[in-house]
Amino acid sequence: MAITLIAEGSYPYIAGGVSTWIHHLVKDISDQDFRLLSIMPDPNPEPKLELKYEIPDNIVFMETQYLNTYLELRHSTRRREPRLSKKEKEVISDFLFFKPELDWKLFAETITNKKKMGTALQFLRSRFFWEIVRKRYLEEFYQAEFNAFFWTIRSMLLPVLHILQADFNLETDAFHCVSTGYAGLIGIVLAQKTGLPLILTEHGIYAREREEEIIKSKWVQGAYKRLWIEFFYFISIGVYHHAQKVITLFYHNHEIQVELGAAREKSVVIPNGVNMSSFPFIEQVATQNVVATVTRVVPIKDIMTLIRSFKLVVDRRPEAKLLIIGPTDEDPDYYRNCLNLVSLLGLDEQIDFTGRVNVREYLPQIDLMLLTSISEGQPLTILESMSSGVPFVASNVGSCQELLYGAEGDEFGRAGLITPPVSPAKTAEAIMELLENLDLRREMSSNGRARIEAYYTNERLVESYRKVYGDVQ
Amino acid sequence: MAGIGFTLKKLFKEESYSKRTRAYLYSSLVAAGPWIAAVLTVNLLVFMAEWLIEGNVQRDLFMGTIVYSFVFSQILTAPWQLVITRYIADKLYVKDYAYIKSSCIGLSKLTSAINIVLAVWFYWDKALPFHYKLMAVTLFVMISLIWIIMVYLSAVRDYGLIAKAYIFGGVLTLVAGYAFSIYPIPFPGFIAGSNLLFSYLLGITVSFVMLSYTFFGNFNFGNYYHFDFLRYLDRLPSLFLIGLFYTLGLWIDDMLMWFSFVGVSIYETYLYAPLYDNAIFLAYLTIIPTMVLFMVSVETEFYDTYRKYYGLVNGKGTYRQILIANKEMRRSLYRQIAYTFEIQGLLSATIVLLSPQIFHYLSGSIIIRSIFQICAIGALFNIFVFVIILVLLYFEAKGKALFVAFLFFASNFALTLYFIPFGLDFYGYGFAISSFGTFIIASVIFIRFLRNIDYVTFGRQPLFPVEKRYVFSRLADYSNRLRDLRYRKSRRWRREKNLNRTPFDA
Repeated sequence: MAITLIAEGSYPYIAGGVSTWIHHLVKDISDQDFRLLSIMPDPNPEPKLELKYEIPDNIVFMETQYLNTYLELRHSTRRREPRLSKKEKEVISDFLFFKPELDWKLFAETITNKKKMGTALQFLRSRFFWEIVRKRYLEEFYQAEFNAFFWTIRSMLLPVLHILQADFNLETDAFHCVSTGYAGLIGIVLAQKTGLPLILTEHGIYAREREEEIIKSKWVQGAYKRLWIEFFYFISIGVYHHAQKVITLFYHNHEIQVELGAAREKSVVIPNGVNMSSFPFIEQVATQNVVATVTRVVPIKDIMTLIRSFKLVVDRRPEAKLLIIGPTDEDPDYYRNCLNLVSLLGLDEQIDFTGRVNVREYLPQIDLMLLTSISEGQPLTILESMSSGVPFVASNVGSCQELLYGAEGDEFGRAGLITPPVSPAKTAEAIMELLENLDLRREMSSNGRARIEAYYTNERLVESYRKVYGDVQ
Repeated sequence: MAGIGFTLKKLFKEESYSKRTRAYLYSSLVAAGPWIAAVLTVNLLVFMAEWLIEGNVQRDLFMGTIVYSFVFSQILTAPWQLVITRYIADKLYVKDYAYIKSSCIGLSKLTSAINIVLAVWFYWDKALPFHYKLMAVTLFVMISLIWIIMVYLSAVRDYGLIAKAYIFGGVLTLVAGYAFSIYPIPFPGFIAGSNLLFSYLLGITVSFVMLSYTFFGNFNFGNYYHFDFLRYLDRLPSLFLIGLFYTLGLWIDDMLMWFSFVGVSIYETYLYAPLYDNAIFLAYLTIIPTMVLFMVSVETEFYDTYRKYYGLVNGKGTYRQILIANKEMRRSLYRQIAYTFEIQGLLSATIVLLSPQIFHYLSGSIIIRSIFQICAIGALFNIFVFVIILVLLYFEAKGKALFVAFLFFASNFALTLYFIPFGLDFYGYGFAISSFGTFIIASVIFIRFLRNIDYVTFGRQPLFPVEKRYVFSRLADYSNRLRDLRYRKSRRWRREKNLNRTPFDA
């Protein structure tokens, strides 16, 4: 039996939380055959796509499909209408109206049929499409600019329709998508088409994340932000309804999934796991004045806030050091800005960008670990620190609070401190509190270790997924 | 780029979609200028010569040269008219003014090269003296160049200057004709005909020089990319073909007549059919009012509604507003066409009914009259075929416009061929029925197209821009590169390099 993992914009080309999670999942369940379907935006990006992970042997098949290969399609001069029965027309129309009660099975069969639909370009230039879009506009958007509406919906659907017509390899036994969005849509369509089971593991809530992005973005304007946001919710809800298992990493997200329509009885939380023997317990000692963060240097991690808060720490403890451990080459501009800020604040002596190094070697000399991200899922660095018994100061995003303070019914106590995001003062305060209080650090250290042992071990993760894969058969 | 450049920019600066397409109309309208000027000048010249000189003035030879020069130069240059009009409009829009002058030079070179070869090949084995052949070839090339410069001048829209050029040329022709009738140049052979041709050649050369001066005075800087315009053949091949088929359609019935039994051969050089040619020439003159009327109506009412529609489409219009603007635009367009048709119809009908009197007065023959009557009716429908082609181009419906142009050409060809065996009584029927039929079909296409204009404007738009690059774009690039190379090698480049050198470089 083989499981097809569907990953969007991540494994094996882009390093990050989701990719690492996939990599470990596959490696740890070594007797399970996996197939990999990677969805990427562009076949020829700058810099070029390259494998960021050594592909484990139990990935028996790998394919990559791209969203914007539609650029290779040709605009035909002749109009071609989709050749659909009345029912099929209705189901396509329901899709274009983002109706949650859509008959996904019929939709999957229709949309993937090139003979019926024509190419994405032919479809989006057909009268059929025009009439539906016009209808939707007149029902929901009649006060907005029509031209912008029409182009928004067209450009939204072009990559989607195109990729759904790709020649996917379907010799598999189940689909497991690692997000909703495009991966989720492909997952649901392929699963409905083949009748195979679909599993969803969502790290962050995809629709929520897109919503935040779209609200801030400049490339969508006005009324059409709503259209994009609705589209991603529509896909997410479709996946929640039709997946046999809806999994997320922590309770907060689990509740959102249920709220959006995932049935409680098929929704579970399977947190990340850490290999405790790789991160053995380190006794806390008198302060060594070293704090560290393990992260990629990119804007979403808000390294700037970290640097600013560390400045406040140095003002009171000039001997303190900050290690920023992790790759700096992903966003060179941002890295440069960080370096400028460091010099501006006169912290060149105190802050060290180590680049990619083995974290384990550094852990014994570190008093506490930090994370000031704006957005997180369930960061592995927190799990690893907790396993080693290093206290943590993290911003209140994703599952950080759940990890450090414990979820409902968890009696292990605090393993670190939670601060509001983008708050240098509060972060500095928390760092000072921990640096100056050995007893508190010792307490948190053992709390963390105990919580990991109870809930966040690798063995537990592997066991849970084995069970999930067994159940859907 | 002083005065006219300014008005040009005003003319073309608005939305890319609408104003650029309007240029098609002006260039077509201006193209009628040389015809009217030629008909007037040539007829006056011959009339004067026959009055001054006793004996044979070799009128047939002269007329043959003129007709052939005009007809074939028009067929060979007309396909470029729409393409170049669009090229100019686009370059004006992006303010690449230098390309305009350069493309004019490039197209003139290209056309001259082709036409000289064709003309030499045509006259090579003809039994005419060398000096006459030389003048005939020159005339042919000169008229071709005039067609081209006219397209460029249509962008300038200085009708006063254009008219002046033709009046000067015409007057010079007549003065020279008068002088040479009394003191003929002793050409070796065909003295009278040669003098007529020489007079006309003088006049038309002056017209050409004046037109060129007007154009190059306005566009006095160019670049070296003379053949850059060739890439438009890849981008908009339909524009080339529309011009080709419509113009061929206009002349194909004449040419078929030349080979029928009314065809006459002049000095075994020119084959033509004076009976038919004269009738259809006159018939075409009757439709000039439509061109003017339609231009005026397009200028006024229709154009405002058109601009409003596309303004809402490209801007912030809601669909309801767009629908209303659409209805207004269609209504105005139909009304303008219907109005023009009524007036032209009335005019044509009057001329047809009065033609016995007119022809009697002009002492024209009965046969010409009956052919003229049927051709005038044909011309009435024909000009509306042309109007529909133009309006289709306003809406970028190039495929449909091409279909109409081709339909006219093909049906005129087939029907004229079909009616020739029926004899003189049926001459002109081919052209008339073909024009009528094409008009009906074009109207249906046009009305159905406009009914769907919202879908076409939105739903049929390509989803991303595609550059069409085939052989002509590569040719254009190759020619541009060649130019760059040559320029770099040239002395001028060295000089400029030295000029640009500052004392600090040393």
